[in-house]
Amino acid sequence: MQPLSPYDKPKVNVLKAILPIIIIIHHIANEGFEGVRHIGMLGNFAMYLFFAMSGYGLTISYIENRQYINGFLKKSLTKLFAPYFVALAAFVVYRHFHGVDQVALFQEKGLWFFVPTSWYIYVLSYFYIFFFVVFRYVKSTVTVKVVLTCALVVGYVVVAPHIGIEPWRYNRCPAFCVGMIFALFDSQIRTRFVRWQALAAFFILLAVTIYPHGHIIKPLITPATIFCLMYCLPSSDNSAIVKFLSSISLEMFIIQFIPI
Amino acid sequence: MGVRNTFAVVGVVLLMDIAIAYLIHISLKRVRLLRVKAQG
Repeated sequence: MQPLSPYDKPKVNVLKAILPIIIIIHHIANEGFEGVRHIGMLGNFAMYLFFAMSGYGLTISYIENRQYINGFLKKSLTKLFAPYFVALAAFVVYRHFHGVDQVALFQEKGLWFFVPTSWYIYVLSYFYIFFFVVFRYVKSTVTVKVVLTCALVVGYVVVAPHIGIEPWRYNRCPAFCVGMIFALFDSQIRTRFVRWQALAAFFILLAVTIYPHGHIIKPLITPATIFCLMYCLPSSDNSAIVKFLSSISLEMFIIQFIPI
Repeated sequence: MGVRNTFAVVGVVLLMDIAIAYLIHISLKRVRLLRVKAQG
């Protein structure tokens, strides 16, 4: 029986390379290009995976190295917001050359509208803060810390609709908790299960994912499906193009509406 | 809109997106390196 393969850096890189492209195609399809509608339909799944990968990455990094939390907030927010501010400047310049009255735009729609993908940066920054506060200041086991962070994320999802936040800014967020839970049980999953079991779980979850049941469980089932698939796939080194695309995935995601 | 046109649009958008993203990425990398150098 073949053991499960770890969800390691090369696999993360492949997802980081592919997901922004799927999201860009999703937005192109939304502009009325029917030819790519089927690829574009995967756009929602891509956002679930982005959140799940973030939750997984933070938790597994902490489990592997407890010093990870020291200076975490400064490092991670800088990585998140530096490309955002450059993108913001690019959007301002772009709109200037298109003769858009940006002061009126700001007064009418606010800063959110300036970079259409900025909601992801803001939401992820809230989750980074939740993660940092809990993992830095709560003196308890990793399980308790994960539960508390998940509770804060769920709190955001519950509060968001009551403070006028649009559904697409919170309905993908539960995927973050799925990523954290997979990271928490990563070593147990890999020691207790073998490849055919993960493959069976993948096909069952895939059937549930494809079945139309609305947004309630999709953010939970979709990342779990992909995690099961990742445990089945063998690890291999990344090609140069995957390494390149994964290194610029956040920038590709943030800036996408300028070329679109 | 024809399928060929659609794929052309996707290709152009992706290439432009990658180019701009790469420019931002290397600019930020350069700034980080300069900051590290300045700090000694």
